[in-house]
Amino acid sequence: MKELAFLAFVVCLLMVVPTQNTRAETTSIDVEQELQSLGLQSAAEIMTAIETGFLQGRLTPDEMVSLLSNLAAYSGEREDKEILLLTIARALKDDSLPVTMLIDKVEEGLARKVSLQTIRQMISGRANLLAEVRDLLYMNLIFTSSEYGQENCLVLPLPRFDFLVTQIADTLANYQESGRSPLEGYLIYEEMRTRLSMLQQNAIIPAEDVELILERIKPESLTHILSNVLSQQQQ
Amino acid sequence: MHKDDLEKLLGDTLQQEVSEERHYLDGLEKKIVAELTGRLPRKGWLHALTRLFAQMQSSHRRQLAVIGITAVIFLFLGIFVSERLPLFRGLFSAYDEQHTTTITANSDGGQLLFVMPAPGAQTVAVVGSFNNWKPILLTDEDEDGIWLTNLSLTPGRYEYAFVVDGRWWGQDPLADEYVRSFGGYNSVRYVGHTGDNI
Repeated sequence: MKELAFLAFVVCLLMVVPTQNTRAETTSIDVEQELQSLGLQSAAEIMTAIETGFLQGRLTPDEMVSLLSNLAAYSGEREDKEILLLTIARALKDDSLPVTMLIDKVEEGLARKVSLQTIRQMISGRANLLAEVRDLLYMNLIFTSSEYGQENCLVLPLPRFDFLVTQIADTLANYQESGRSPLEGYLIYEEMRTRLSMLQQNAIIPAEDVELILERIKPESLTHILSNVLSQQQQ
Repeated sequence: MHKDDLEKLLGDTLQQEVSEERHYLDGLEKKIVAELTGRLPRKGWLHALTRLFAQMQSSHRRQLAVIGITAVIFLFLGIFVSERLPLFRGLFSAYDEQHTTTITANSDGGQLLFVMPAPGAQTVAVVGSFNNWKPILLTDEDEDGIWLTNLSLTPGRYEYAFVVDGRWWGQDPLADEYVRSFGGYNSVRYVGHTGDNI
């Protein structure tokens, strides 16, 4: 009977071990497999950009696997999926932009069952906004690298810099997508101020970052950015 | 009458009476057994299992049955333990992922209560930027039409919407603000470092 009990115990262990293996951590290999399943021509370029994102800490394998698997399961043209991923990849690799906002919008669009063309347009506009806002911070001597060495230059750690760029760009995108005029600089500035204040009140960003942005960025700069993006979209 | 004749007569008469009444005895034993069995307390599944084992002639088959039943008991015990002890929670993740969506909790974040009044709805879920817009089901345990769920979220700004029987509702009265998105609305909530954000 003892042998029998031991045998039963071993059987139970064998049943438990495979369930533990399913909790293995997601890696870039899983991301590559998901990407291959899409059968895209630019898979290599996209994968290189994704790996850069992993190295910079701007992306995680989990969010990429989620995005790619949702995209693979979504009905639509392969070319649209490829352009969508290339927009994110180029924003990340070529323009060195934070792309969490872009990924989030794609996920939302897929969940809402919006057409891939609509998602593409939105992502493209938002990628332009991210680049414009990043450049605006540079112009106002807010950097994420110490190589510039100018007076009054402020160097922020990459996650803080990325977060500011993302929040300002998202505020501008929401303003634009609500159909309001880009010429109302003070309204846009007020929206940005409200957003940053809410983040500060909830201790999500430091007060000094909010003061810095509100002090250095002017309403006319925001109007300029939105007008630029609008003209890019019309071309 | 002679004594021997009398004994013979009595014997014959008795034999004749017994043979005449014999049909009453047919099936009487079965009736008694059935009646007694009915009066006895009913035997449970354990007794049935024991009898099943006792009837098994082959010791090999008996061993296999013991192993199988022990494995099933351990399996249910494992699921029971994994549901209740934090150490083992997620052990059966393959099962969990098919049925529910989980969010990584963070002690530095806050509890966020999502409430949606939807009387008569079949399913109510919340989707949002906190979980790649995958549905998290709300529950209405007291069936009063108020669906709710409580999520632990890391600090941040989250956009979300409710999905009631497949239809999106982006304007939650408890939201901090609303934004337009893909032609609809999203609600927005801020989760701070201070803890409770309900």
